[in-house]
Amino acid sequence: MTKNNGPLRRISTERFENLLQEEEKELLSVLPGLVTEAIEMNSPYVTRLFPPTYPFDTIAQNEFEKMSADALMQQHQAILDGFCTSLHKSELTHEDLVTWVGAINDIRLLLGTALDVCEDLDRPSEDDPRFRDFIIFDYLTWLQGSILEFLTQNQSAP
Amino acid sequence: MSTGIVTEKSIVSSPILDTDHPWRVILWNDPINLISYVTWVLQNALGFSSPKATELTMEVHNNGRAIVSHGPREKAELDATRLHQHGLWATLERDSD
Repeated sequence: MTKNNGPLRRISTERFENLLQEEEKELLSVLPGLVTEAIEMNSPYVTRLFPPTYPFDTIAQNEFEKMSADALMQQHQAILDGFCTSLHKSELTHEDLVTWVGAINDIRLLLGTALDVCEDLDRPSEDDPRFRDFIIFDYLTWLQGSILEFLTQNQSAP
Repeated sequence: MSTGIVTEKSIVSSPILDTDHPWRVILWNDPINLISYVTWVLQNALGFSSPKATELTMEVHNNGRAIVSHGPREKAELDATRLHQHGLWATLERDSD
């Protein structure tokens, strides 16, 4: 994946031009479905999307999960759906960017868990079976960081 | 991003755990979430100022964890859920101090 000069251009405080290339949109439109599929299959790679609130108290954790898990799942799905819906828009709002950052984070959590990402993870060699996924993870890291810069600039604007 | 989907129904009431003691929300370090993202979430989900959110994020990054909220159990559960909605790893523990 080739990184372009930037995913966005600010038009005004609340409006942004979507500068993603077609190949980027094509890739990004597929990734949310992988998260949905992993959730539906109860994959071990989705554990970071549903962390335990009471890791040392099984009873409390089960009760809390029973009451809150559906809402949390719906929240993740709504963000992923919103990302897919707005991905091809030429002009994005601040709210679109908030949705994008959340969806990209969900995808990174899934991919990062599958890749067993750690603080000092080295880039795998090209013949490593993880290479392609690592490149996608690396691209998503860049994309999320770039969008966060726009959101942070918005917060610090007078 | 909505953070208001947790209703009163979502709050667990366990006789084992209910006490008058306040609860802490612990935010844990993880190698996937970006520092800039964690800082942004702390500002937008829990309402911290930029300097305080940055300070807490660096505490998590350097020490492995930080207390980001405390209070009655219902509030602590709500705050932890808000962090979970953003993909952050938060747990609850009873404040024993």
